[in-house]
This record gives sequence, structure tokens and C-alpha cells, in this order.
Amino acid sequence: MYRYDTLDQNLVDERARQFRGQVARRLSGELSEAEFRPLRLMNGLYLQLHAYMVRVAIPYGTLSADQMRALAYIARTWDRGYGHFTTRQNIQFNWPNLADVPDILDALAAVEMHAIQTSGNCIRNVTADAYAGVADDEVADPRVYAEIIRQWSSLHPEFSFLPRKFKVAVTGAPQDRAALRVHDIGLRLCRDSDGALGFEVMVGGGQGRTPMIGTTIRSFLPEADLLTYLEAILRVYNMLGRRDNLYKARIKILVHSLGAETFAAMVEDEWHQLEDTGPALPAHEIKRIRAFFLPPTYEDLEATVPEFEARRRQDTAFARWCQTNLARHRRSGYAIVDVSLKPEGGSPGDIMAEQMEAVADLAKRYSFGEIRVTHAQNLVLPHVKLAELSAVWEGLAAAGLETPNVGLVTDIIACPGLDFCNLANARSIPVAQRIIERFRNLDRQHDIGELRINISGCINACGHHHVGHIGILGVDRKGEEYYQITLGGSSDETASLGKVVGPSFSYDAITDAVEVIVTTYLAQRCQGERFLDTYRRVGAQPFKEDLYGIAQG
Amino acid sequence: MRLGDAHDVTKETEAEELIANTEADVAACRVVEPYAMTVEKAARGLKPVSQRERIRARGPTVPYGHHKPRA
Ligand code: SF4
Repeated sequence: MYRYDTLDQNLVDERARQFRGQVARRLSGELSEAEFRPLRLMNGLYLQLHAYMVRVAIPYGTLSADQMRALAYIARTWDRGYGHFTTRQNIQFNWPNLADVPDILDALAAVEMHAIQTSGNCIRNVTADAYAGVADDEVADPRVYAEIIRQWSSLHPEFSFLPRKFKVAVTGAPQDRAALRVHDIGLRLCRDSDGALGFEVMVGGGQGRTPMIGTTIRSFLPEADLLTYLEAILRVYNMLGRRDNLYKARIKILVHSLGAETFAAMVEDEWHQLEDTGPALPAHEIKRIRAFFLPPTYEDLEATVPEFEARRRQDTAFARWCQTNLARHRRSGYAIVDVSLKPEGGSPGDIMAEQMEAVADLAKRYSFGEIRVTHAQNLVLPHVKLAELSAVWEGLAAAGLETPNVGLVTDIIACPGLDFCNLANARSIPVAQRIIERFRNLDRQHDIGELRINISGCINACGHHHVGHIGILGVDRKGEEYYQITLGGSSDETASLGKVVGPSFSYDAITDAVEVIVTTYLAQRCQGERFLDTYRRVGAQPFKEDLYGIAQG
Repeated sequence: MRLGDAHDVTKETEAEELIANTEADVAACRVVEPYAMTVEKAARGLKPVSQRERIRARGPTVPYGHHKPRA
């Protein structure tokens, strides 16, 4: 993992110190809320429905066991004993007292973390494939470049006041686990015909009010040109992005209105001008950063482990968990373990302080001290020996973290919604809970297979509803919570935006509607088809008919 | 401060007046960004009309941390 140097540490320490002074001035009344607001937002401190909320950056979703323990300490000491992992690989604390926030920032700084650039019109926390460095289909580790981008974009003076917030995602694998096509910039590591490393560059993706799938503007960008090219994109956006209309200010609108080709040509022009003056990325610097992400010292292990196989045969609960919560590791004898944060009765992405500590302990013992956060609001133990999976499963079970549902219908992404969020139209969490309860039968979940339900409490789409196979969006109908359903969205390498299936459903009707959709899928599917395959083959019509009757058409 | 302690008024101008009266509390940081909300008279006192204000008044409708929502 990357470790702060004195520059990083000083920056974070100084910011925490500065914010302590600002909070003191706010508490004394010297600063009004209007004056304080921009200062607190620069430190990830929001004012939500009930209280302040601190959003902590987890760069490219990588956490050490010690950092996880510090998050548990924060949750227990200054919050209400839990935290909430978001679709941006961040963690949010929902209940801090303003007076305690400086202590929280100090506790974060002590483990090389902060809340800088988790708000505001700047380059936000860079996200990445949660399986970075361990996926067996990976070309190169995206965290190296995500870290380089983090350093380049941190307090970048030119890009601190962009027209709107700006999100960059990086992956090193052909299978897209980082939702590249719905980011302002998506970067996919690839090799050219000579074997040189570079990036496919996508721009203009995004969700929210005007969802768009990003377009590839360069199929191969040599790795050494990464920062100058990013700088060129950001410059064109910074110059031409709209500042007069909040809803038209994201880069996707600019790319769309200019046309991707024109936008790409402008970026190329700008890029050539930056050739000599732009931020260089010399090979030795890439090498220096790469050294932080070298693989741990794996053992040479057999690909099959008799004890593991035996337990899988004998213990149905363990076998079920293995079926959904393990992914193939690039090293033989190891597995990637997904830890679901979607238990029945829980809130998607929520985790208690004790559970954080349990995960930290398991990571330390069995996964080289490493943890990842996924954009689906789950956690990952990236390097577990097959022979130790039993012990890890038991450890997770002891902490209530053994839910065997990753990728299934109950592995729901949900934003905080109206229970916590100031901007919400409707609740998300109880809708997720009701659907999870409805589909609690594990045999049924396995029969349904891979199905992603994503729920947002408003059009800002923090719950990624546009790219859910089934997307649910909370809308306000005369003060009542209603839910609009979209079908056919996907955030993987075949990214697509869901289409609205018809009129919205009330809070009490939405679970039944989801069940109708699932039943229609089961009736329509051909052998081996996932929900998304069936939907793409048959279209929305059969779902509309079953949801609304033939008359709706 | 609970909803039960609230003043209910019927006119827009009265609501504005109520907000104006919070100035000292705002300045002393006892209150942040006060605003008026629409309520109706229910059997057990005032009830916010919008779901948002009901949740704001009563807290999240779902369990969180060690907390359970009020019935
Ligand atoms: S989608 Fe809307 S309701 Fe949900 S967290 Fe984002 S802003 Fe809040």
C-alpha cells in the first residue's frame, strides 16, 4: 500500500489544524454558517437531515487493517458506533458533533487519511477496481495510477474550482468492476500491439439528472502521457464547461453538446500545447509509486486444497458462501473474499465498529493486512489462502458478516435516502430492506441468479439506479414517496442506462412490483440467461405487460 | 427542542416573524439555518405534512448503529 511521505503528512496535518481553528471560530459565533459552509465542505463535512456528516476518502478503495481499526475507533468515540460505506468507496459518519470533528480529522491523519476533496467542485476521490492487484484478468495494477492521479489532483490550484465535481475511475482489467463508463473520466489500462502499457480514455459518463455513457476519446494513451492528457481534458472542461446552470455543468453535458469528436480534437490540441510544460510522468516516478503496490510475499501453493474442498462438500452454508462470495485470485492457492454488507434487516453499506475491527483482525491474520471497499458497498479481503477460507468464514460469521449474497438479488446498492439525506425525495434503505426480506430464501436467490438492484432516493443517483439491472428512483408525488423503476441498466464493460418501465409505484407497492419483474424474468428466460441477458433479448414489453396490464403497452 | 414546543401559525407573515425571532439563537449558534415547515393538527399535537419533516422530527425510520427507530 502507498505510505505518506512527509509532504503528504504535512499537508493533511496542516489541514486538520487549520480546520480546528475554523471550527473554533464557528462555535464561538465568529463565523456564520454561510461563512463556515465552504470551509467545512472543503473538509468533507456536510449538514444532513439530522446532523453533520463527515465523508472520509478511501483512495481507490484500499484500506489497511490499521486504518479500518481507526475508522472503528472514530465510529465508537465520536459517532454512534457505526459507519456507512458508499458507492464512491468512501465512508460516511452520520452523527458527529461539530466540536468533535477536528479530533476526527486528527485521528484520520494519524493513519494517513483525510476528508479533503470529498465535496466541492474539484477532482474527487479517485476510485478503482476493488480487485486491483489480485484479479486474474488484470493487465496492470490500477492503484499505481490512481495514486499518481491522487497526488496530481490533490489541491491542484487550477482545478480546485471546476464548473462541477469531477470523478475519475481506473481499472486494470477488461472486466469493468469500477463503472468506468459512468464517470467523468474512466481509464482502462491496456497494452498496445508492442506490449507497451497505456490507457483507453473514456470521458463524459455520468448519472444524476442527465445520465450518459462515457465515450472513448482515445483508445491508447501511453502511460507516460497520463497526467498531461488528464490536464488537457480538465483544461478544456474548465474553460468551456457551463457555470451558469448547475444541471448543465458536468463534463458529460459539454462532451454531448460539442460532440465527442470535437471534444477529443480540442483535448488533443490542448495536449500538444502541454507537451513541454505539462506535468511529466517519468518512468522513475511510476516505478517509485509502483513499489508501494508490489504484490505481497505469497507462498507457492497448490491450486486445490483437500481440506477446503472437503468442507465445501460437507457444509452447505460454507459452500453457499463460497459460491457467491469468492472470486478467482491471480495466484494459485489464494482467493479474493467478498464480505457482504447487505444482511437481512441491515442498511446496505452499514457496518458496526465491532465488525470493522473483526474485518481488520481477519485482514491482518489472513489477508496481508489489506482490505478493499467496493462500489457496490461491500468489503473485500483480497488475498486469502484457500486453506484458510474456513477460518475466515467462521471469523466473519462470528461478527455477523457471512451473508452469502454477493451479486444476487439481495446484494442491493442503496443510498442513504430520506432517512438521512437532505436532498432526498424518498427513503431508500427501508425499500432495500423490504426487498431483501422478500427474497430472503437463498435457494430462490440462486435460482434467480445475478441480479443487481440499485436504489437512489433522488435524481442525484448516489445509489446508481441508472445502471442497476433493476433501478429504483425515489420521487416525490405531492409529499408522498413514490418509486420509478428502470430496467436494463448495467455498469460493467457492456454499460447501459436503464429505461423507465412506466408509472411509478407507492412505497407499499414497490416490493411487489420488483417481485413481478423477477417473476416475468423467470418466465421469459432461456437456459443460462441472467436477468440482464433476458431483458436485452426480450425488451421491456413483457415486463410492462405484467406490471401494468396489456393496456399500458 | 421538540416539535411539541413549536409555535403554530397560519399566515406566511407570522411564519416569517417566527424565523426573524430566531436571529439571536442563530448568532449564538444554538440554531443552524431555521426555516418554517407546514404542519397539520393531529390527535397528538402537531404533525409535519411532509415525510421529510416527519423523519427530521422523529429520526430515521430504520435501525442504525445500536439505535432502533421509535415505534
Ligand atoms: S441519491 Fe439523492 S437521496 Fe440518495 S444520497 Fe444522493 S442526494 Fe441523497
